[in-house]
Amino acid sequence: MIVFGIFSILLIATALAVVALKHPINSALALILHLLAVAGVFAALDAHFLAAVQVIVYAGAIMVLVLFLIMLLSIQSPTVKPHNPTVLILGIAASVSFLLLALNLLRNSFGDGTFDDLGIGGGSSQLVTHSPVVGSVKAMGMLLYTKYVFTFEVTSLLILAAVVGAVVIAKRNYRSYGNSSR
Amino acid sequence: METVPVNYYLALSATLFAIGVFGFIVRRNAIFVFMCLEIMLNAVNISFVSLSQKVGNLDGQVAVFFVMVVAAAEAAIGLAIVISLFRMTQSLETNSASDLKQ
Repeated sequence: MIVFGIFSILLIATALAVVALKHPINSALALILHLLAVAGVFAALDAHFLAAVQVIVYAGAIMVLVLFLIMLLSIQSPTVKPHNPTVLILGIAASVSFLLLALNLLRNSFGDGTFDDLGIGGGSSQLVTHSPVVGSVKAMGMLLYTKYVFTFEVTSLLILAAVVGAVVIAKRNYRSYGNSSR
Repeated sequence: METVPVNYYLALSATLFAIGVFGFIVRRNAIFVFMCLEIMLNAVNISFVSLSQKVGNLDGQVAVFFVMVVAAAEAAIGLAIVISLFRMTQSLETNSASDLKQ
C-alpha cells in the first residue's frame, strides 16, 4: 500500500508536470520519470517482464527519440501565447467529466472490488492477488509463442511498415513551400 | 506485504487518463500532444495489468506488450510526421497543420 501510494503520487505529479511545463525538454524529462514510475507499478503488480520492457522500450528508446527530436529541431522556449479560454474550458470540462464518469462507474459497478458482475475474479476475494500470476519472462514468452504467435508475427510486419513509413515521411522534400533550407 | 484493491489501480488509471486528455486538448505544440498521448497509453496499460492480476491470467499483460509495440511504431511515425510538419511550416503548432497536401 505504501509502495502504491508513493508511485501514484509520483505518477500524478509527473503527469501534471508534463502537461503544465513550458519547455519541451523539461516536459520530456518529467515524462521519463512518469514512465519509470509506471514500470514501478508494473513491478509492484508482479509483471516483471513488462516492467523491464517499459524501462527499455518506453523510457529508453521512445523517449530518446523524443529528446533527439526536440534537440534536432532546437526548439526554443516557445513564445507564451495566452491559451484560448474556450479551449481551456473545453479541456477541463472533457477531462473532469471523463474522470467523474469513470470514478462513478468504478464506485457503482465494482464497488466491492469483487467483479461479480463480470463473472470474473472468484467472487469472495477482494484483493488484487487472489490467484497470484507472475508475469515473468518465461510465462510471457510461453504465451507469446503459443497462443499469440500469429499476432506476434503480424506485429513484426507492423514494425517493418512503420520503419519504412517513417523513412519515407521524414526524407520527403517540401521544395514547393519555398523555405526548405533544412 | 499488504495488497492493494484493484479499484485503486483503476482509479489511478482513470486519473492519469483524464490528465492526458486535458493536455491533449489544451496544448498546441505537437510534441506535447504526442507526450500526452503516451500518458494516456500508459494509463490504459496500468488498468490492463491490474485487471490481469485480478482475473488471474496473463492475457492482459500480453495485450500490454502489444500496446507497447504499437506505441513504438506510432512514435516512429508520429515523430517523422512532426519533422516533416516542422519543415513545411517552421512551427510545431497543431493549428498550422491544416493542409492535407504539400
